[in-house]
Amino acid sequence: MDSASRIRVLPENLANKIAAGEVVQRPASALKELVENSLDAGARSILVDLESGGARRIRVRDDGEGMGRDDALLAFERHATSKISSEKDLHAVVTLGFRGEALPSIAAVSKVVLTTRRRGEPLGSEVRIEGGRVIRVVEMGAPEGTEIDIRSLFFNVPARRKFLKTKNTEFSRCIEVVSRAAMAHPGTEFVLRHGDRTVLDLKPTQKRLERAAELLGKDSLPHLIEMPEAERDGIRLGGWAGAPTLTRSNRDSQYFFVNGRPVRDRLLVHAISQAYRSFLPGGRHPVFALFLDIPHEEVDVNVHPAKEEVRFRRGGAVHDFVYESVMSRLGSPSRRPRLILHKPNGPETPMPPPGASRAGGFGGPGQGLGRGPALLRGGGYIPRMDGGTETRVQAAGPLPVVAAGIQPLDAEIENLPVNGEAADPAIRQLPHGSFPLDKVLVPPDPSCPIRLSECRYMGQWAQCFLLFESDQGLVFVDQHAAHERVLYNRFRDQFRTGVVERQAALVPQTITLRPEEALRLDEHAETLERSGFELESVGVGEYLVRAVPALLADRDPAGAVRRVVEGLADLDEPMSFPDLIDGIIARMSCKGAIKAAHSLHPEEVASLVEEIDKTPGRWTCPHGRPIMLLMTEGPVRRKFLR
Amino acid sequence: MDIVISKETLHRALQTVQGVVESRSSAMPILQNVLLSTEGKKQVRLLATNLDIGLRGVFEAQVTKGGSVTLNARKLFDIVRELPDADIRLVEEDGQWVRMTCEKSSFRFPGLPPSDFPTVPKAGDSEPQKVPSAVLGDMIRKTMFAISQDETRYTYNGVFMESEGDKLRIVATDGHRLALIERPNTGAEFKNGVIIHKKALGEIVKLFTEEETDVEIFLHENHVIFRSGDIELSARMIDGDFPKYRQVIPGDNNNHITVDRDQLLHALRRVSLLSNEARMVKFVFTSGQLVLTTNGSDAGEAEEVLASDYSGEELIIGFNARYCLDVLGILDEQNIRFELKDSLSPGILKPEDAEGYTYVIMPMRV
Repeated sequence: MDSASRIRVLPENLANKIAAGEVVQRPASALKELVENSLDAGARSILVDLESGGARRIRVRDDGEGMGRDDALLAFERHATSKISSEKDLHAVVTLGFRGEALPSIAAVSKVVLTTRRRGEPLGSEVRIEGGRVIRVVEMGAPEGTEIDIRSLFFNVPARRKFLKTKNTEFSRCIEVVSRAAMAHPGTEFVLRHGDRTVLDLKPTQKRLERAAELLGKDSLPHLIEMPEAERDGIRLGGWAGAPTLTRSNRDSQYFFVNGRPVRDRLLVHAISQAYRSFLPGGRHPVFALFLDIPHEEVDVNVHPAKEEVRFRRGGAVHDFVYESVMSRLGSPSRRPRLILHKPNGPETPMPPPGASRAGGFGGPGQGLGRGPALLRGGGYIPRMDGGTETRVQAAGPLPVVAAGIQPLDAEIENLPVNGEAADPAIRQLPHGSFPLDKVLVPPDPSCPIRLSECRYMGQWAQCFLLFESDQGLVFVDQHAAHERVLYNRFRDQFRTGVVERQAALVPQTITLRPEEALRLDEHAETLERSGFELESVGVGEYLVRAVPALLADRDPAGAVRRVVEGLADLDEPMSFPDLIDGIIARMSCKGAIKAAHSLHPEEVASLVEEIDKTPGRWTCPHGRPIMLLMTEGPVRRKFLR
Repeated sequence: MDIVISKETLHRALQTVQGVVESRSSAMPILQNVLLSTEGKKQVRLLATNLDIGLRGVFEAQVTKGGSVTLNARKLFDIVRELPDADIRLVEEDGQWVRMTCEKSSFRFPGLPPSDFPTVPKAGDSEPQKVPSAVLGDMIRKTMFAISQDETRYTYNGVFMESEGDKLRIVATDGHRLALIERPNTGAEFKNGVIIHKKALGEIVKLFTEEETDVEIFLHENHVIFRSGDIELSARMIDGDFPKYRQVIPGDNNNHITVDRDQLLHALRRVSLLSNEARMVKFVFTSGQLVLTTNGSDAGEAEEVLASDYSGEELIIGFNARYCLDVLGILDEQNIRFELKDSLSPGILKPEDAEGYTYVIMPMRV
């Protein structure tokens, strides 16, 4: 063997296969690259056809600007891209793709036919590539735009092929890819077909909420809270967060975009789950579609080959901004989504319910009540003029118009959630008036919060529930849960502003940290000290816990330090003191709150009501149990055959 | 099994083991039971355990027919307590059922198979260490409150007992405060010391109160067994190194201040009612007096002034009120003495005129 030339440059082909391993892990990742290319090419319409979960075939056709013959060939060269040309561009990437890795990587491990015609040119080209080798290039007639047809992904990488999951799993990942792209680009039409089945058919719309509603499920619309679009240091957060009354058992209905790019970033996930934490019961996940806009130089998207993760120049600031924005809306939802889905039945309207009123947001008088989904009824979705004051329109008719978000109980309506669960289809077979109670007692609409002080107190029931008459229906308040929330918020605020007392250790514990943890700890030593921790470095990665917040002194102080340090891995900032002692705050509020099975004087109720109305986030108690439920008039009337 | 036992004896027997019986529902329902077995013709043995500790006692009875049964300890105790002062007869019937009769009362209980009852270590034949019963109980009572309830620091979950020359010593700490008590040793030897699990401590304090008798202590590999008369308590030993307590007891705390214990206890109780969750109370020592204050909590503010014999410069130190109340409540002496250095160093609390007790507290800071 020639020892002088052991190191050699890999043949292009092999390099591409290796790169393919990074960029193209599965059909969905190939699809993501193709869809992003189409979007970067300015497509108004993207059609995706899949076979066998994408393993057999992925075809993406768009009406974007297309490519000339030379570009079409060059596109398969590694690091060939039209999107950036200098290092300077890299720091301000505005397109979705830029690395120039996608196409060659995909082509290295599949059989590709690219058909494209540049806008305005008479002839298009077809390039056929198998396993990275160009088989044929011809000029031919083609529609404007680009079509990429990928067959037999990983045909030459059997190892990778073996690692593919079932057809359904791969397919659901592909749906996710298209959904995310579609959420970010409401103006582009998306059609996704699997075999003969059309899975997504999203018409272009000017309204982001319309697209969001289609992707999150119509049922979620009344529960979506619009973000304030506040701006801080050039950072803006728009979109919608689901009220805590709307939850899912998985994270599928969570969309986050940074400058239009779908991401799954730990920092952001953490910020949002912090905001929701005290509102949701364990094991439930919030629904959201959030769009973060941030100056391009503030964010590095070149972290992850598939660009799912990003890195922020000021991570802590971004985290806090997202947390505070979401938190402020969950605390005081005063804006409701401003969408009126008033288009009459037609090809443009997605899923119009049969028999729905065509009278726009005003609904039909009388008999329109309870027919058709909430969106189409009553005055509920009259947009607010200023986003601040309540506007409710009374319709003519024998019954008062029910505000938006009240669960319609009509048999035509399906899949309206109670706590995000799809309605039981069996309900549709039930005759009028025999709905089970759990569909009658529903969480109140987050967009028009009930102010108990404006309701008539009717009395206490079972020494546990306070009953109020509101214009939306009969309100049931769990006295313990409500008071618990009041106290929780009060204690949290106290601990946020108060001084932190620390208990010094007589016998300091030693904790051992990994090098990267130790580094992070050192960086944040000062903040940790403000939270009540005193740590002394006594060796490589070894620390003595000299003092801890007094409230944690009896409860595994070293464990608390560990939790803080582990938190630092996800965040650029240490946990705040109230977060750290959240469990204690929750226990304090539970202990201090009025118990169930305790009779209350009307005077006591009045003072509790005042506190509740002042409390932001009055959805749930700190353990996630609901505070208020609403019984609407409709089903009761029906039960009485009125 | 067929025995006759006096109500008074059975009541006392059941009361003795009650504290060891598993009170919560457990994966092993038999832990809620007590095992009764005959010993010869004149005795019945009761055994209860919650796996951490076990308690056996031998009591007088007339045995007509030998055998053993297990019965729900709580139920049995509650009934026996209400029975008239007369002889009680317990007879085993078919299928582990037991009939209990006393004068005109008759009860039938379902039992669980005695063979399912967990084994509990016995004293054995080795030579025991002897400590006067009341001394052991008192030493544990005055230290056990300082142990940690935090299960992650398991060596802090018990008291440490050791002998050194003519001293017997028990130490307890939770990492923030430490209680140490020494008494003259009458020949017991615990060279490397043992850590006695916290669950046993309450029972020891309850059981061993008599001045005149000795507790015999047997050290097994994983258990320590205490025997006094017919009662035998076995407890899990905590395996691990007790913290090096000597290092944390300061030797140069030169500000010595004497305060009336009872006055301080009550003043501190009142003041701490208005402390916040962290329960910090500021001790301000000035010439001739000690001022206790709390503030910063929404509950309000409080101030108490006590007399002291301090004559130095003002010294302010914050303590967790609970740590102080714990020790003031268990001491009996008229006066206690603070030994302090400054507001950041550990402070010492001692009875003024009794040797052999030291309590160290780390201060709190804002």
